[in-house]
Amino acid sequence: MRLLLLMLCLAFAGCAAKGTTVVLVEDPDGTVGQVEVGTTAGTQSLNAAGQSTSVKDSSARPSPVRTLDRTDIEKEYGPAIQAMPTPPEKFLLYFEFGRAELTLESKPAPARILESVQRRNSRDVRVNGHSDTIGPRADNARLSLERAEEARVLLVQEGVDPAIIKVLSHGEGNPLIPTPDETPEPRNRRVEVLVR
Amino acid sequence: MHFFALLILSLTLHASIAQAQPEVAGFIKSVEGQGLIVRDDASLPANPGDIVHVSDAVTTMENSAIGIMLEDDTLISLGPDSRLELGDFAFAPQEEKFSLAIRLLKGSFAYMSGVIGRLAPEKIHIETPDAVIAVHGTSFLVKVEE
Repeated sequence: MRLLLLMLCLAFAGCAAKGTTVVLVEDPDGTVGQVEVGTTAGTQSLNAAGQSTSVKDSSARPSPVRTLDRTDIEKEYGPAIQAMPTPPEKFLLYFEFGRAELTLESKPAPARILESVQRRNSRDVRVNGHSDTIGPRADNARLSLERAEEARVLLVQEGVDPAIIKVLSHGEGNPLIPTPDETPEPRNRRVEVLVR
Repeated sequence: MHFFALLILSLTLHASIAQAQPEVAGFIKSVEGQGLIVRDDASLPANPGDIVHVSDAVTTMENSAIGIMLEDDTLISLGPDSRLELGDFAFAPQEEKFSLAIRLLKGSFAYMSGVIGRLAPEKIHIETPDAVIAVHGTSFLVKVEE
């Protein structure tokens, strides 16, 4: 039985011997970065999707690049790929000038956020309040917290479990659209909700 | 009055930041089959929502897989019969403190960079028993055979 397994193993090129194999793959947005695999004997860089290199041990040189197709990758890494969490989903809620009240356009957002929480089975929702730069910094810190608190209340009313919500206020210090001080900018009067 | 409200506010915010930052590195997002979180000398069954701390190891059994989300949105998954150790993790953008050190000891893995990969890729250290992997903001797969 062992021998049979070994023979099957040898029959498939993908069946790895001792050592490390690294495969570069696409990001969800379609871009591909770069990876360098190094040992004391040398470095191999990977810079296109499907490129891979193998290393027998820490004193061996990484192998030349071999390009794997989707079938190879799926066979070797399928379970890990399937277990990959989906990146957090981000929602922007906009507020009326100087107030902790949602703009008309943002009123449907809490329902969409609840849908995302349920679909992702999320136990971690971050609510980050922000303001624009009109008025004193301290007032904006307070306003951005009031907005985040209001968003929290709306999410709880919608049906999101309060225990999974974390609220944080950034004030005017973390604008979506960078502006000078004392600049009205509706796109900065926002609450960012991250469903993780 | 405003000043006091703000003072209390900033104290509570600081308290919650201080609590959240130093030890918590991320959490278990999904568990297929069975896995463990190994902390000091204890092995705890891994469940979705469990916090992963700095210095924890995470392992999977046969026919099992685990997905992990770190605080900076780095994503890592373990395929069957795998083990990783989280050597170090720090994520405090306002203090420009970033660190991520992972050891992939055996099995199969998928990795996708998060905010640290975007802001400070040189602070990411990923190694296996055989090699060091330098990342430039990207997704990759790793297999380690013992």
